[in-house]
Amino acid sequence: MSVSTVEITDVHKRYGSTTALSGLSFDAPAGITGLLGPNGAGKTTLLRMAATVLAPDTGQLRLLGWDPSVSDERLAIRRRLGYMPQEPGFHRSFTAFEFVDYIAILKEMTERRSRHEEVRRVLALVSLESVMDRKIKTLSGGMRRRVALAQALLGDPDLLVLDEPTAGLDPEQRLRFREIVSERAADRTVLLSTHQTEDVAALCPRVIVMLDGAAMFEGTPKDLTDVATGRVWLAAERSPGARLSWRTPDGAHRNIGDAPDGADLVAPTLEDGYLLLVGERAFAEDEAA
Amino acid sequence: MSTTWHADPSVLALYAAEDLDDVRASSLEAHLLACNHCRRALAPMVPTPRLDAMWSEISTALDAPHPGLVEQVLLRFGVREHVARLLAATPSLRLSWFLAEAFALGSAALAAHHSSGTRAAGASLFLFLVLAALAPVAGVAAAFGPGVDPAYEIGIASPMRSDRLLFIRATAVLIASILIGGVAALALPDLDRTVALWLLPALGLTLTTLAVATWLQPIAAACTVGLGWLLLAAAASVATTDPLAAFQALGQVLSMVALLTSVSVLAHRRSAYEGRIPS
Repeated sequence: MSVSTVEITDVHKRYGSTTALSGLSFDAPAGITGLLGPNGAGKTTLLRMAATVLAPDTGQLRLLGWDPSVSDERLAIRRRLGYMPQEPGFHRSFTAFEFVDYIAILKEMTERRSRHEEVRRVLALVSLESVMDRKIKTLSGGMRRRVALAQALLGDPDLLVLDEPTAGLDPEQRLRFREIVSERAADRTVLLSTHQTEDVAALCPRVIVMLDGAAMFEGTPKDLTDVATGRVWLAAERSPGARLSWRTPDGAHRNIGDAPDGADLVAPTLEDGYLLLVGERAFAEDEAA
Repeated sequence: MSTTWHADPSVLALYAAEDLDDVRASSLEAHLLACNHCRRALAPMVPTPRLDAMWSEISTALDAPHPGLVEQVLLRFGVREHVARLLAATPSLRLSWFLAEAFALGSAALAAHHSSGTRAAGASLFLFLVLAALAPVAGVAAAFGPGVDPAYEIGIASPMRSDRLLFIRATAVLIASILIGGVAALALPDLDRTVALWLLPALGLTLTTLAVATWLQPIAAACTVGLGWLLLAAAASVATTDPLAAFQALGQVLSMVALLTSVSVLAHRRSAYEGRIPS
C-alpha cells in the first residue's frame, strides 16, 4: 500500500466574502497527482498551501510527513520542495542563469562551483542552455515558464508543486515537460494543476477534479473517462438530450449527456468525463437558480 | 626556451604531491616556466583528481556570468559571492534607485544652500533632513515583500529565512542610504553639526520599520512609521516655531529610544517574519 506524502484534511480558506476552499480533503501518494477544475475552483489556493506560502483558515495539512504550520517542520518541507507558481515573478534584469542561481542561493546552495553546476543542469533539462546568458526580459513567455520550471527542479526535490506548468508551452515543449516530470515521479510526489486534460491523461496515475473549493472526483484517468461511458454519441445535429455538443471537423456533432435510444455511441475521452462531471454541476446550479 | 639543467625526478614527485617546502617549490616553479622537459616530466606525476578539480575550477571561472555593476561593487568591497547575488536582487539596491535618491537629496541640499540666509532657509533644511531620514525607510520598504520583490512567492517557499534575507538587504540599503545622504549633506550651507542631525532619526526610523514589519508587511510598516514620524516632525516644527525641532536634542533622544526599543523587539520577534505566511 502506498504511503500518502500529501494529506489534506477538511481545509477551509476564504478571501473576504469569497470561499476558495470549503472542506477540501484528499491524500496523495508518491507519483503524479493532477488537479483539474475550472478557473476559481481553488486549485491555485490549494497548491499555494502545498508550497507552504499560504496557511488555511482551518483544517490540517501534512506534507512529506511534516506539519507546515510548525516553523521547524515548515523549514524541513521547504528544503525538499520545488515550487512553480501560476504567475512566477522574475528579476527581469537578471539573466536566466543569474535568476536560477539566485533561487539556488535561497535554497541554501552557497558553494559556488557545485551551485553553478546544478544551475546548468536544470537549465539544460528544460533546454535553455543556449539562452542562459540572455536577460529574462528578452525571453519569450514560453522560455520564462521554462526558467520557472528549472528553478523548481533545483536540488531534485521530493515534493514538486507545479501550478499550470504547461500553460504557454508549445507541443514540443509540453512533451519535453512530460518527459522531465515523469522521470522524476517514481519515488517523488508531484502535484500539478492544469487545464490540459491531455497532460493528465499522459502523465497522472491519479486525478482530482475540483469544483467550488472541494474535490468532487478522485480516481485514475480511466475512472474519470468511465464517467462518460455510454454518454457520448455522434449525430448529424445537436441532440436534445445533450449537455454539451460541438461540430467536429468531419461535420458530425459530438454530443455529451443523456444519450437517446439507438444513439451512435463512441468511446469517451478523459475530457468527455471531465466536461460531463463539471458541466453537470454547472447545469444543476443553473437549474436551481 | 630550454635550460641546461633539469630537476631531479624525486623533487618533481615531491612537488606533485605538494610535499616540497615553499622555498624549493618557488625555485622549481620558476624553472618550470622555462623548461619544457621538466614540465613534461611533471605532468604524469600530478594526480588525475587534482588535475580534474583544477580544470573544473578554471571552467567554472570562465563560464561564470559576468556580474552586474552593483554586484561587482559589492564583490570589490569583500561581500561574499552568494550574498552579493542576494543583494543584487534587491529592488532598492539598483543603480536607478541610488541615482533617484542622490538626485532627491542633492537637490534638497542645494536648495538649502541657495536659500541660506533667507526666510526659506529653515524650511529647506527641514526638507533635506526629512528626506535623508526617510530615504533608508523607503529603501527597506522596497527591499523585500509582496509587491516589491517579483520573485517573493518563490522566495518564501525556499528554506532561506525571511528575517535573514530582510536583515541582509536592510543593512545594505541602510549603508548605501547613509553614504548617499552623507555625501549630499556636504552641499549644505554650514558644515556643522546640522549635517548629521538626520543620522540618528534615520537609524531609529529604519529599525522601527523593521520592528513594525514583524506585524505588518514591510511596505505597510514603512508607510506607517514614515508618515507617523513626518506628521510628528511637522507638528513639532509648527508648535515650537523651530523648523528643526524634531531634530533637536529631544528628537535625537527619542530616536535613540526608538532604536533601542526596536532592537529589543527584533530580538524577541524576528521569528514572526517566518510565521507570518500570507493569508
